Amino acid sequence: MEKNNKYWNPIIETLPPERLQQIELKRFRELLRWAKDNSPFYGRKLRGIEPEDIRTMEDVAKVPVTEKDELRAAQEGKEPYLYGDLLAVAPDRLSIFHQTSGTTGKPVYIPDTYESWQWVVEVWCYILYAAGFRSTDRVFLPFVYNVYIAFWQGHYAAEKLGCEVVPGGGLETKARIQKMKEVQATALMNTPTYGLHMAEVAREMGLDPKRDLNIKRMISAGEPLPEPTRLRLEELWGAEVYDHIGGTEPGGWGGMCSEKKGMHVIEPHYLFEMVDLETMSKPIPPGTKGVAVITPLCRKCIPLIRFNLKDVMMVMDEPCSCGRTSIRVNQVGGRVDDLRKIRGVFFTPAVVEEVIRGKFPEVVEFETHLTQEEVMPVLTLRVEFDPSIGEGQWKELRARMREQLKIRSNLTFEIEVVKPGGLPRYTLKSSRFKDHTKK
Amino acid sequence: MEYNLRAMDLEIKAIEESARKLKGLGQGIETVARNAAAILAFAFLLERNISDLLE
Repeated sequence: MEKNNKYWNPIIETLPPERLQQIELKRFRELLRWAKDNSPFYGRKLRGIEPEDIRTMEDVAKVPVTEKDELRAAQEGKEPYLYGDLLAVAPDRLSIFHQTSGTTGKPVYIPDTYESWQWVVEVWCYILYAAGFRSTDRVFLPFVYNVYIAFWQGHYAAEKLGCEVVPGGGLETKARIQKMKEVQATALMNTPTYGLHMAEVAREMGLDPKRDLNIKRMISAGEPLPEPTRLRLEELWGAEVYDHIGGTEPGGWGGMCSEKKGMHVIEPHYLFEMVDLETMSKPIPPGTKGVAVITPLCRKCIPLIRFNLKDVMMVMDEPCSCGRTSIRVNQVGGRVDDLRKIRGVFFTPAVVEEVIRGKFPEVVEFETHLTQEEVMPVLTLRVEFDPSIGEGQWKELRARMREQLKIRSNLTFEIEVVKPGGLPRYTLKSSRFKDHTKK
Repeated sequence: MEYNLRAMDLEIKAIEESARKLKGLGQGIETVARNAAAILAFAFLLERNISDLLE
């Protein structure tokens, strides 16, 4: 029989959008019912909402959005210990623990039952398969995976796909590179930052990742991957580089296909919505910037209903030539939490990354600092150049950076050059934006 | 390519039924109970990926 090599699930991935939505609405009703009956938090939050009344996307929009702070409050000091009012199954059914990084506050604890964890992994299989991972791949994971979910999902999903997984944690970067070379790994899961750092270290070791390592594809996790960074990684590694999107609370919910234009939502395992930036509640049409709201439809142990991801995105209108029919999104503006109004202008640190990674290959590392001098906010970009860039070139580069940043953000930056090795190398959840004005 | 969703759905249901029956027959034997539960977890995924698509 002819084998379909393009999709993890050729039936689901090519269903008409209306049919996908129909399945999602049915699952949404089931999840609401489950959450109301089994999670004390949602029992309170969804009082007055009848799941059976939810028939359209307009009805869905009437269900209140869940904020991360609510998850924290529902766990803190509540029984059963760790998960509190969010838990919707008996604690003895839990089989794995993860937590959020705590970047925006106290971590949220997200467990899974054996069953729900298999679902989390299954969704990642859709992501990896769309990114071209196959049973012929030997996948290297250069991370110690601990309480955070990202690489656990990737590990188990690659294993399920039939890949050979090489867990490369517990080694220094040089040893990891040696190991990748030794085992001739063909695929890599990485944070964008660490992908750039590994390439830099490989060069210090006298290796050209493109020529001397065998990586054919790479999937990014843990941080946003702006297009210029993705292209830079492709150039450095000579590999196909794909992005995916997800988090501890919802799991991995979208990924790039071979077209590498935006990310497909893994429907109908997730219900995806976009709401407007101003009210954070009104649904918005494709092609408009908004905030993403997601509902994982099959993870029942800690139900998550209309979770505000706080990611600024845009739904792409045109169908994808890969044949997948699911909603496709573009990450266009970073995190809502990172948005700042500076001198009357909306600023997101994602702009700096776009400019630096897109136009300045000379930059090895950078950080953006926001400070306040008397009443004036000041943006300072601290950059570290590749050691091959002589001091004679710094002046011209700084001037060009100021100009490009001004064009892109409408804001003036101070540029400060740091000596080689002077900036930290971020590996996971890197935050190159430091807001010193926050009390 | 045409897929026989209905036939696949019937097999998925049969797996679920069989795993449940096996669990009962095991009368609490841990290895039977846990492995049957694992089979049911994968059957659940098949249900979500295949059975749910039936109109």
